[in-house]
Parts: sequence; C-alpha cells; structure tokens
Amino acid sequence: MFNRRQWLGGAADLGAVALAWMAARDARAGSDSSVLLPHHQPRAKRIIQIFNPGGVSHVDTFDYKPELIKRAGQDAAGFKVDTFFGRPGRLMPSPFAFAQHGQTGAWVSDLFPYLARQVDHLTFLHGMVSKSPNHTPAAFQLNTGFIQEGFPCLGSWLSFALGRSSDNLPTFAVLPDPRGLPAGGSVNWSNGFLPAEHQGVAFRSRGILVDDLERPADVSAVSRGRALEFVRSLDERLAQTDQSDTSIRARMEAYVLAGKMQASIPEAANLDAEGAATRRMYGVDDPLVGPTARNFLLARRLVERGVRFVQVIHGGAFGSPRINWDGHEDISVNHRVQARLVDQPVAALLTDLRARGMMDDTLVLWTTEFGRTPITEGVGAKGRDHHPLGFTMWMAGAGLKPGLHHGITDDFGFAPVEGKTTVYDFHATVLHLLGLDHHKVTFYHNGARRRLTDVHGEIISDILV
Amino acid sequence: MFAYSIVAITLLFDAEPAVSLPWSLAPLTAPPLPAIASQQHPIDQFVIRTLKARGLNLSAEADRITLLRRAHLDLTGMLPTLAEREAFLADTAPGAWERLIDRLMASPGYGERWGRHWLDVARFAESQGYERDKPRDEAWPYRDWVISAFQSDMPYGDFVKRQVAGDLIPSSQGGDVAATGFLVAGPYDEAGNGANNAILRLKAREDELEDMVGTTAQAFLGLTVHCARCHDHKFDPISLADYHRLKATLAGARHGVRARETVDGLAQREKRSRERQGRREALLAEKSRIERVAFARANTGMGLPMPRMRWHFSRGLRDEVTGVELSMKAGATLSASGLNLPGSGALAETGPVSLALAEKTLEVWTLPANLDQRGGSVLTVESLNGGSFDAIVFGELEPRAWMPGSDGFLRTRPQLELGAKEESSLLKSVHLAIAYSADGTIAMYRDGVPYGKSYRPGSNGLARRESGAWRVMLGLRHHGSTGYYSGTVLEARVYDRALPPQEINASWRGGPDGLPPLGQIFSAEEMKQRQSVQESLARLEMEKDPPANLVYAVVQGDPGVQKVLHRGDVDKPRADAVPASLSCIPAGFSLAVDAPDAARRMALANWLSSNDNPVVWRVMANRVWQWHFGSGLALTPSDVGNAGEKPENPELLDHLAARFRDGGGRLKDLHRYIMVSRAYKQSSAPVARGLEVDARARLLWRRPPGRMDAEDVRDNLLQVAGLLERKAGGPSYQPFIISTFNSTFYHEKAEDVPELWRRSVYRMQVRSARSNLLDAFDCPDPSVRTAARAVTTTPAQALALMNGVLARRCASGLASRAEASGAGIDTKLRHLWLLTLCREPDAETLQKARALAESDGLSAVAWSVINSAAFTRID
Repeated sequence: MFNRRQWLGGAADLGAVALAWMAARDARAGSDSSVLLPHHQPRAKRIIQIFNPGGVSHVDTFDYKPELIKRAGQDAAGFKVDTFFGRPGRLMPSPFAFAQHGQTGAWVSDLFPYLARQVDHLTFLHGMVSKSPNHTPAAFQLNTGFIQEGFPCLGSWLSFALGRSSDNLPTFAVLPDPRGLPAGGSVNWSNGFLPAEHQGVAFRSRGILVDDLERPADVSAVSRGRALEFVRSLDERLAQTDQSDTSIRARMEAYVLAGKMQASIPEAANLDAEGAATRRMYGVDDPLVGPTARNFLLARRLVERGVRFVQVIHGGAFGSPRINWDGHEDISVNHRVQARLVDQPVAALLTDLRARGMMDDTLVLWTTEFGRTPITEGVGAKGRDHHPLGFTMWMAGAGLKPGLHHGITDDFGFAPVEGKTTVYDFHATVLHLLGLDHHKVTFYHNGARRRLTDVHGEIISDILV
Repeated sequence: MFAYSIVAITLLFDAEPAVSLPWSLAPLTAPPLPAIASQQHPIDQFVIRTLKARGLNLSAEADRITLLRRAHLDLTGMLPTLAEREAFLADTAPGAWERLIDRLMASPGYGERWGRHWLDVARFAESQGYERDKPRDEAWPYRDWVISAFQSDMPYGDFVKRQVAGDLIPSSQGGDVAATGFLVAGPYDEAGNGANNAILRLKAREDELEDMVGTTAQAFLGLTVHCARCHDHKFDPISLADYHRLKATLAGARHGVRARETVDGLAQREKRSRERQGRREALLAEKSRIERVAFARANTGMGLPMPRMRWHFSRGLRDEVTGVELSMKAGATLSASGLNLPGSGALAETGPVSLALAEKTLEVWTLPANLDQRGGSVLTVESLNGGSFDAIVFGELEPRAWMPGSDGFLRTRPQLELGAKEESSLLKSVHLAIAYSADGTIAMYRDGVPYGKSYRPGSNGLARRESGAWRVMLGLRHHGSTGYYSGTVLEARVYDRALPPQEINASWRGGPDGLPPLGQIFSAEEMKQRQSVQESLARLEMEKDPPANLVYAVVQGDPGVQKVLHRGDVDKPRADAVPASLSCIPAGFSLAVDAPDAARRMALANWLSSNDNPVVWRVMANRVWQWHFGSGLALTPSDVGNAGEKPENPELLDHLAARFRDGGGRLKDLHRYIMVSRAYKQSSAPVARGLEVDARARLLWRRPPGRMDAEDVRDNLLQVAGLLERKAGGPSYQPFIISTFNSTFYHEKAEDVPELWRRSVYRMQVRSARSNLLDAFDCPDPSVRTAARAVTTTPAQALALMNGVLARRCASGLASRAEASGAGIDTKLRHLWLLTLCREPDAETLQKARALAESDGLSAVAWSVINSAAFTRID
C-alpha cells in the first residue's frame, strides 16, 4: 500500500565538498550525533507533527466567539471570505459548549475533554492565515511551503539540512490515518526535488510495516549471512581497484545499515512492549479510538529511538462518508467524530512525553490546512466552508512559552486583528527551534535557491522562551 | 551526476547578482580548433587543452569489454546479451566500434533509453495530480512520440517545434498532436479549475501557465523564465513583462483529451462526424415520424418527447421502452399511487444498463414525504461502484432545495440563487427535470420552468456512461452515500438527449399520464420499426472514431487578452501583454494582443527552433554531453543563465552546438561524433595526479565511473533473468491496484506477472504511485522537471535488491539460466558472470562463488552478484 520507503540512508554520492562536510559532521558526532549542521543552538531535536486534513474549524475548537451566539443567523456582509464553494450563509454559533480550562483559563470546546486538561502546556497560534481555500494547494503549503506540487516537505528539508538522525531507523517517518491515505497519497511526504533519500517512510497500520523490510521466509538467516559475506568480498575487491571511488564504500555501509533496520523497525513498532497503563492512557485497546491511538503511541516510540520527524496524519481523503475534518454538511456531526478519535491519544502523547522528560527537546505541532467559516455554507445550513483567512494551530514543547495565546481574531473569527501568522512564519519558527536559519537552508533547483519559506517568513519571537 | 550539499549550493550563489547577458545567449559560431594535438579528434583537442593547463592528460583507451558494456548501457540502457558480446569480440576489423554504435542506435533500446532522458526534462506524468490525482489514460502517446522521435533521428528543430505546436503543423506524421503532450504534462488542478470561486479558477489557470512557460523555457532555452512571474528576474535580463508576454504565447493552450489528428486530420474527422450526424438526424426523423403517426392515432401526446427509458410506477417496475426491470430494496413498496420510498435504506435499482449515455435528461414526478429531509435522490444514474453519478437530489447542500447532485459536486452548482425553496403542499406532486447538454451545460427545471440558472461546471463536462457500466436508481443518492429520499415517485424517465425548455414544459403539462402506456400507442409493426431504428442508431454510435486515437494533449482555447500581472497576482492586472518572445534572444517576434492561439504557438515554435537562436542548440548539445558523461559541460543543463554554472570548457560546447545546428540538428550524428573521441573511450581507472587536481574528473582525465539509472537497474535485472518483455509502445503497464475514494489511490503491487515485466519507460508515471525499487535508485518525482538526476547510495537500495519481490524473482531467474547453460559448476558460474558483468570471474572469486553455490545453491550466488556494486556500476 505504501510505496514510499526512503528512510534516510547513508550519505549520498560523495563529492569532494560533500566529503569535507561529512568529515565535519563526524567530528561533531561525539557530542550530539543527531544534529549535524545547526546554525545556532537548537531547542528542539525532534518533531511530531499532527496533520489534520480537511480543515479544523477554529471557532468550534480553540477560538471561542460568543459574539456568534448574539448574532446567530445574521448576515455577515462586510467581512471578507475566500470560500471554496462561494455560497456565503449566515453567522452560526458553535454547536459545541465552550468552557475555560487550566490556570491560563483557555477556552476550549467540549470536543476536547482530554486536551482541555493540557491547555497550560500548549502555545496557541490564533492568527494563522493560508494562501488557498482549496484543500490540496493549502495542504501543500502547510507541508511544503508552496501551493504547487513538486516541492519538498518539512520533514524532507530537515533530513536534508540536519542529516540522518538514526543509524537504524528512518529519519522521517509518516503514519497515515488507518482509515485511509490523505488525498494525493504519497505526494504529501514527497522529497520534491531533494535527493530521494529525504523522502518520508510511510508505516502501514496493518500487515507488513514497511516495504522490502523483511528477509523472505524461505531464506535462512545463516544462508543470507553467507551470501552477504560474498557480496562484501566482491565489493571489497572492487573498492581496491578504485580506491578513489567512495561510492563503493558508501554502498557497503548502506548494506550494513539496511541490516540494522531490519531488526530495529519491527522492534520500534512493537506496541505490545508498552505497559498496560500507557496503553490505557492512549486508548490503544479501545475499539473506537484504538487505531488512531496506535499511531500516536508509535510516534512516541519512534522519536524516542531517534527518528527526527514523525508526521501523524489524522484524516483520509475527501468524499462521502467524511473521514476528515471537512465539515461542509454538518459541523456538529463531522467534528464530533474527528475530535473523539484524536482527543485522548494526543493528550496522552503530551502527558507521556512530559513524563519521560522529552518535552524539553521535542516539538508537538497541531496543524491543519485552513480553518472554517464563522458563517454557514449556504443559508439555513449546518456546515461551514473552507476559511484560509484566519484559523488556529498550536505548538507544544521545546523552546516555547507554554500556555501562551499568540494572535487574536475579530469577534467572529473571520481574520486576525493581532498576531497574523503566515505558514511561512510558522515554518521559519519551527526551523529556528531546530537550530536552523530558514534563510540558509537552501537547495539550488531550476534556477532558484529554493527555501522552505520561499522569500518570506518571520520568526514568531513572541512565543519563544 | 553531481553530489549535493549545502556547502556546494551556497558557494554557487556567493557572487553578486548581475543582470547581464548570460554567456549562453551570445551568438553561436564554431570556435577555431586549438592549435595542439591537431591529429586528434576535435573534441579531444579541446579536452587536452584544458587538461594540459592543469598538468593532466587523457587516459588510455579502455579495453574492448569495458567499451562494449559502456556503449550498450549508454545508448540503450541494456547490458549486451551473450550473442552481442560474441559478435563484437569477433569483429576485429577496423570500424568495429563505429559499427557497434550504429547498430545500437538502430536498435529499439536506443529510443527507449534516450526518450526516457527527455521525459525527465519534460516532467512527463500520467495522472492529474493535486487532490484527486486521476489517471491520464491517454497520456502515453506523448511518451511514444518522444521515443520514436529519438529513434527516427528527427531533426532537433522539428522536435522542438512539434512539442509546442504539433497539432498545428499539417504533417505526414499523424502522431504530432501527441507531441503537444509536452506542454500539458504538468499537473492539472481539477478542484481548482472546477471551483465556483472565480478567483480560485483564475489562480489555478495561472499556475498551470507558469508550469507550461517554465517547462518550455527550461527545456529548450535553459532559462528560468518562471522566476520572473512575480518580479524581474534577479540574474538574467528577463523582466516581469517578458514573462507575461511569453505566457501570452501559450495562453490558448489548455489541458485536455482530444483526437490525435493534426489540423488536416481533424478536418477529415470533422467530415466523417458530419456525415454520421446527417445519418443520425435521418434516423431520428424516421423515429419521430413513427412516433408522430402513432401519437396522432392515439389522439394524445402530440409534441411530447419520447424517453429512452420510462417507468410509470402505477403499472409496475418494468421500463416500458426497453424492458429494464427495477428491483426494490429494504422497505420500498409499490402501490397504485406509485413507488413508495420510506427513506433509510429503501431504494429501487436496475442491473447494468446496456446503453451508452452521455447527453441526457432525467425527469420525475414525485411527492416528497417531508420537506426537511436531506440529501436523498429521486432519480440517479451512476457508475456501478457508485463513484460517479448524476442525480436529482433534494436538500443536500441547501435545505428544501433541489439540485443536480454529482460525485464530489463536480457537476453541481446549488440552485439557491433563483430556484425557490420547496414549499408546495405535500398533496400535489412536483415535476423535476435536469437536462445535460453535450457542451456540458446543465439546466434544471421545476414544474416546467427553469429552476435556478443553467451553468457549465468548469471543464468537467459530461459524465459519459459506457454501455453495461451504469445503473438507474431511485431513493439512494449514490452507492457509498447514506442519502436516502423519502417520498412517492409517480413516474421516472431518462432521455438520451438534452430536452430543450419547450419540450420539458410540454412534458410537464402532459403530466405522468400524458404519455400513454407505450404498448398501447404503437402497433406491433411500429414497435418493430422503432426497434430497428433504435438499433441503427446504436450501430452508428459504434462507428465513432476509436478511443485509441485519443491523446492527452493541447486543446485549443481562446487565449483572450492577457495582462501583465503585478506581483504575478491574478487580482492585479496591469498593461496588456502582447504575445512575444523574450527580448534578450534574437530572431524574436511580437503579435497582436488578440492574435489567435495558432498564430501564437506557431510563432513561438519557429522562434524556439530557429538557427538564429543560439541558446537552444547549446542547451541540447550540453544535455547530450551530460547523458553521455554523467555531467554536462555546463553543470546546470536547465539553467544556462547567470545563476547557473558556466561551462568548464565553453569552446568545446560551442564547437558541439554549432556542429549540431549546422548539421541539421541530428542527434545520432552527435552521438557518433562524441563516442569516437578518446575522451569518451578512455579508461575509468584512477590516476594519482588526476585525483589530486580534479577528483571528480570534470576535466575528463579519465572516464568518470557511473551507475545505472533506476530504470536500467530494473530492466537489466529482468534481462539477466531472461524475463524482460520487449513489447514496445502502447498503453503503459500499471504495477498497482487502483482504488477511488474521491481521490484516486494507487497501491503498489508485486511485479509478478509477465505483463509487468516491460521496460520501465513504459511504466505508468502516476504522481502518487512511485516504485520502491525505482525511487531507491533516484528515479525522480514525475512532478519535478529534472535536468540531472541525483546519484545517491542508501539502505533503501540495499533493501529493495535484497528483499524486493522483483529482485528476488530475477535472482532465481538468473540462476536458472546459469543452471541451464551447461554442465559443471564452473561453466554455470562463468555464464552467470558473463550475463551480468560481461566478463568471467577471476580464480579467487570463482572459488568463493563455488563454495557459496555448494552451501546455498546457485540462486544465492545470483542474488549476490545482483547485490554487488559491480552489477550497477558503469566503468
């Protein structure tokens, strides 16, 4: 099902410059092998990005708008919208009850009873804006910085900039929703124009974990060992005829790494090794929440073992029945289901990471391609259309001020009146937390020195410690 | 084949940007030959001159086996077979090398390998990309066109011209329409292009044009013109206005599926179509005459349109025209008032309908059970899996409103603007009809008058239903949905044409009983005549030009008057953009602002391929050099502007480019010219001084060692195993299982059947369906314009070759061939080595291989050889 393997492997074809670079990396490896080329001291070493395709409604989750109750059913002429279907309806209050939580008194709707207890640890971005009201371009922007197809995603950029983070696991892993792949499938974790080794490795939720990982059953370990030794001797002889060709040595090294992965990936994915309390906390054995929860628990196990970037996708493709946050027909029904599946596992992940002392150098990102309109989609309807002009995401962990709310939207949630934050700003900040200057992480492609942040991006310094 | 690193990339840009004329745009003339080594091949003279300056020289010629393997892999991507090896070794007469080159260039493997190079540049893909990533089943003719252009040694000027305007050139080569697949090989944003939001549609189109302009300029001119969409180019003399003028030349080119014929071929097709249309009209008139007579006799129903299917439910579930039966499910019942659908699970549906349906009208009389129900359908026609449908839907997007429902709302616009909310009493039936015209227009009617405005949904057009691939259903919106309609249906009709308003009005006035039971209207003789006319019409339908003639290529559209867009933003149009060439390149043109598409693209094609255009020849000569040597004389072959790398040996490049141009743009001549040089034929063995001065042999003191491209790794695995299927051309093989859930998903499947064992160039290039094995060896993302592939070394390669299904099957296939090669283990092992590495194993290797064969079998040895670095290496 998943044809994206490409865990980051050994170094590329080693040119002279690259060799010098590798040497520099290896010299530093003693102190911190996971960080190869930071521009400054990193605050975060690893990231778990939760990607919520479909568009999470900010006014029904974390951006409380009591004014919508007062003005329910009224026309919202005068406010700018940029919807997909182009049928503006009337102001609609959230069908969910809001309450304040934690010491910080953050408003959260009753969609997230578990997450509500975590608000003091979260850093909210209420002033998010995106460039497109169309799912895929907006999702491309969230994941790659560009609204067109063919650009590298965040995880690939980090793999490229910081190198391999583990000798026996992928550097960049993707855990798709067990209900189905997001629209575009593997395009969502493409390396774009970066070398193929920087592509995300997708894990299956059932059956074979990762393609081509397992030694076939009809080949014994002993027999495989003898054959590998013969391969090694052939390569060794070739390497001696041309000692200048480092790619032969690199290839021999790659075979060693592949052998390690064959053992470590199944070990990392073995959730049975977790204690009953942990499994219960995530909801792994709950018939409804279980499949989603497994991904979040796996995400923790992967970052714990050295994977730098894990993208957990909570939502599948578009269509009917809805299996993502795209609540056009009825926001109440749609968001209730989506939130129910993800609330407990995400809260558990945050608790678990804190308990393990990992929150100090781990970033957890709650992301979506856009929000949803404060007005209904069509008059008298119950759903909301796409809304890229103002929405909420949150971050948690390393280097952030916990409990902070950055950005405010107007009384209805149409647009930021303070703290407007672009996706470029968000990416610049994430790179900054990993010790990278987003201006300097560049790759020459088709005439331009490409960046994740194109020619934009300001670090959101307010939220940084 | 150059390594990437942050450091290297940064160095490239340390220079201050300078907007001067780049080296590549200077007039192209053949430079004088260096006055050294004058008895040598001119290429070698240029190479030796730069080498000498660094105290280096060319290496000795490589041995014949090495040259044989090199030439085969370079020109065809395939290892020599044993017979080919023997033949070459036996040919010791002078000219054997030249004969080998000619033989390889004449073999089909040449077009397949060199066509694949070009497909990288052209970012060729066979799916739409974006949200739905639908397959482009008709895109492969472009791939075949490219392969055959290389194979037939098409002059490069023609090659360029046809990819921009092949549909406009009356030509002897009927396939040139397919060449324009080049312009539209990029992604197509179906959701954006079909959006109700007009700005969104403009943006999607503007991105599409950027893809076309960017690819055209980079592929042929090596210039990054797309950088000037939003601002003047930072490095090259290309202004914002230049970009939008060049864009205007392509503004009439649109994505689409069309007939493969060129303009003259299209005229033929048009003539055939007119002739068929005439016969169709005659048949329809005959049908109408029969009906008129019968209706007149029945003294009723005059002026009523005749449906193609008709259910009058008080008389049963049988369609009165063709006899198709509906069957009821889960609580649906039949009564004197009609078909009763209580909702939640209740429906009536037919089996597959044997009738092709495109243009159509859906019509019903119904009585909804309540007005607050949401999302059910009174009448649906859908594909058998429910993935595609058209339906009369109630209350789905707007409460109490009817609308034409469709999959993913592709053909849906809400009727709210004009269509009233349903408020009629629940006592009187309502009449609804939706007419779907051939041009894509959809019009809805309620009680005989228009309901909302008619519209054409984006470019999605009509949903065509092939005979046997669809059904009629009442109640459920479509299979896969949960929208059930609750109410009574009195009458349902399906027409195979879009009824005009007056006929719909007449039908409404007639009511469900306006059309008497059809059996009563026609005499037995008339029924027979009618049936015969019907059959003739069906036969006529089948005479259509076959679908094999369809191609995903440029469809001409109205280019309109293009504007210079401030900051590249569709919201900020400024001055008119006349269609024009780039001002920095000679032989330019400028057209009227409202010139038609054909004039624009022809002018562009002529300018791009002109002998006075210096850069187009330099760019291709440089690409050819890169594909022979692993890296170009200029390292950034799709960026020969100021930001790209300047050529290492500019006189050599100009020498090649001028010869290429002046010789009529013949690639095969260029191959031959390059391959007989010492620079090409020299050994790849390392030399201490060379490693010290120029480790990567950019100056060519040795032949830089290379690695097989991804496709060639796979193809040679199949070849050494004796499994390769040499079927050339035609629809692509699809090594995946396709499923749809609004989006299309491609699940990679094991390549374990011979239909999938074709050369990789024939693999369907779906954007979201890449291959483990090919990706591991740096096969690029098809959405990316790839000028030079990366060459990486990763554990993923090891895993794909160690454990992958294909690699393992090929290892055992290779072992079987070795096993059958003769008696004695040494014979078998030698055979195995010759098949894969072209030479026999030395004594030490033979001894180790023998030991492994004894303990683990010959297949373990075969597995080891294909996993060894030597197999994929090119010396």
